[in-house]
Amino acid sequence: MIALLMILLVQAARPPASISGTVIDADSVYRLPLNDARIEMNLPDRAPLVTRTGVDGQFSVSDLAPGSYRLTVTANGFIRESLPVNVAAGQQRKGVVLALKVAPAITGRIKDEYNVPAAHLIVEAMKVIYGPRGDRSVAAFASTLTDDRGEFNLAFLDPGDYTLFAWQNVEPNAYLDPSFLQRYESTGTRMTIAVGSEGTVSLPLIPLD
Amino acid sequence: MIIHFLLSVAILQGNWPPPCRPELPIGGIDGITMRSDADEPLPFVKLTFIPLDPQPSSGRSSSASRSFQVTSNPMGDFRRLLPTGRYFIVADREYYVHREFFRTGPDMPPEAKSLIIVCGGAQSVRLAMDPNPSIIGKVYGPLGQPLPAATVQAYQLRYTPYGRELHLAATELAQENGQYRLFRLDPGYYFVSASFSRAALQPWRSVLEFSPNLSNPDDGYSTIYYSGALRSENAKPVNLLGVREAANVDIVLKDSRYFKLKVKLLLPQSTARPMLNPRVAILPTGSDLGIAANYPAIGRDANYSQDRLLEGDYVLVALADFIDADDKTSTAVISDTVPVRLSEDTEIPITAMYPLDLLGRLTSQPNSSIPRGLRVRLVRVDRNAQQTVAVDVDTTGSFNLLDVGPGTYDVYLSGTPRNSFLQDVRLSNADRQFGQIRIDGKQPERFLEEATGRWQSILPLNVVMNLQSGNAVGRVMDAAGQPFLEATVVLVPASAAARLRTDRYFKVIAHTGEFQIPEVPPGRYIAYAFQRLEQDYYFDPDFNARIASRGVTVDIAAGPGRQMDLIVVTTDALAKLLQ
Repeated sequence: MIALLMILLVQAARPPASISGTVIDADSVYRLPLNDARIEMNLPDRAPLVTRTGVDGQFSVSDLAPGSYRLTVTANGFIRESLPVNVAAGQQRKGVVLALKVAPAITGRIKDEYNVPAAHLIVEAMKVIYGPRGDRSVAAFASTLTDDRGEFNLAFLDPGDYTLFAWQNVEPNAYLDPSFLQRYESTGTRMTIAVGSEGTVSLPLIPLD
Repeated sequence: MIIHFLLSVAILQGNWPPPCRPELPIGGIDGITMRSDADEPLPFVKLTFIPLDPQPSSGRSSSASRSFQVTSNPMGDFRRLLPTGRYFIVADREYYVHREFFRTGPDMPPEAKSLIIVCGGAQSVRLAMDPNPSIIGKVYGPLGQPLPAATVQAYQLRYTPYGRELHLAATELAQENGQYRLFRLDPGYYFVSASFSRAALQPWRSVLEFSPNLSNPDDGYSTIYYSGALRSENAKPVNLLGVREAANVDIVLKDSRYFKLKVKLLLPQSTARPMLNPRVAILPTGSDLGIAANYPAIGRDANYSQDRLLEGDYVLVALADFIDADDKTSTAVISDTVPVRLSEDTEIPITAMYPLDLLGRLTSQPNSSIPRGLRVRLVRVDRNAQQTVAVDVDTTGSFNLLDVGPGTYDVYLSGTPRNSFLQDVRLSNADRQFGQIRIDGKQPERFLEEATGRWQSILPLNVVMNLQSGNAVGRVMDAAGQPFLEATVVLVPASAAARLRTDRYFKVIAHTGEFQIPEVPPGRYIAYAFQRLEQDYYFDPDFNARIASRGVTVDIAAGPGRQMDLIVVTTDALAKLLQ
């Protein structure tokens, strides 16, 4: 699934090592470069090295100590990518292409019991996750607030299954209480969202007992 | 009274429209209240029908007793019986703009017509309400990239007794394409700022969960005011008077400079209860200290230094945590606010003190029992930050303000009974501005209560409520002596001390040309009638100096009040005075 193309130009080993390349939109025909993408290089027990792409989508990280890095790239509007990168002493890695897929979104609107738009309401997109022992739990992947038209936009989602909630007069993070979720989980609205799609939903307002 | 009785009889008969009978000269109005932005019904709109013809039954001249009210139902429908005659309608609802329908007058279009209720007929009307105005726009980074999750804030330019001030009115996050929408704003003038940094995002993290696909802003960019200013004094105001929205209020953030801020926090030596986690929070100027704990601290212990802070204006305040008797942790403000203009490396000392408990006593004059629902409010007098601390008063008149931080506060009373007003506030013998208290390292005198380890003021905060207010009653006329409808009547206190208190100013709309203002503290006032006054200009000392020649000096005494006649200041005349 990782749409990743790497062109390696091997050069004479000369310390210190560096890596450079381009971040592009995977779905664009013309390899549209993504500006302001954030590249983070992580080595265990070290402060991460962070850089960003310019208007041409290009990035470069130099002065790399050798080691097994994890490279994570995030760009607003796209699904993050994370991959291992081994850096040998003096290695000059150029022309790395990181292609990101557009992150799907769910938009919608909420009205109160009198059919009037409900403003400043928290909308939670929850995901079912399974722990290492197969234990099931529900966690918020993203949340947002409605505006005065009752409209909301849950942007930058991963593809997958979500349950959406909008509770009336709820404390922020009330869902962190397992008994709260147990009680209200069935009241959520289920949605499946894929890459490149945008879901629209008219969400019911859930009254608290 | 007779008319009201007849109306209720007619309602009981249930005929719609009501039959016309000579002994019962009534008709009806029905209709629906709508949202203008969506062409959908809007429930719960409060409608006031104001008669334009004299009514034989109303002996008293108060406008309140002459008007008729109804609130639309959950479907937006309403129905009301009214005595025959000419009317206009005033419509109000929370988050919607005040509107007047069927009003005629010099500032209305010539085709405007009054509502006419005829005997035995029922008019049907659709009344559309506009939502409170919004400011919309986009936030971009220096590369022209849209910035989702940028924090956008609207500051209202308010007129206060202390002069013009910026008050934070709304905070929103930009959407996925950098688009933002600041909504439910009162009509007025606003400055809009955009911030984008890890620090600006932090307060939101206690409310919202952010997608892992949202790119971390890291240090981000300096706060920029529309339309590109680093300082609020160079910002361009956005006009929300008489418009439904201000669009394209776009803000482009710039590549920023970073500076070093060093803070030396001077902590008090004391054997009082432990002061945990003392720290300095760094907030955007104009923030509410109530959520100061949500902002990042720039370090811990006594000496802080942060190397990479974005250029801009900030306010610093020291905070600390305390554990109370039932093991709950609370955060208190332990220093006055300190404004910082970060445009070079800066070093600042901040003096902290233990927060103070003020035990209070409310008495009434003449002596009477204390009703339920009274609250004492301390409002911080501070150009850099907002804070309101409120506490309930029990029926013995006692109240406790706990952990009050250093600062200057105006003391107000809310939930007061009819015909009462705040007469006096005393904390110590310090010679202070009327109704205001000052708390700092020196005043008021305090002692350490051994059992609890809390610092407490020796003298209580004494608040006196007076139960014998006065009334301002009168008429508004044009230059020819004819009644003038819908004028805004304003009372400005004459004494310099009272002029710094917002509860000494009064404003009403004289719908029918007559007005009555209750609960006015006895004293000398300057009364004005304006054809229209959009904002609370009348608090502003500069505004008051310019209009002084058009005021009428009135002395208000306790009791029902003497009739006053005011000549309206037309909008044209006001514009000339303000030139």
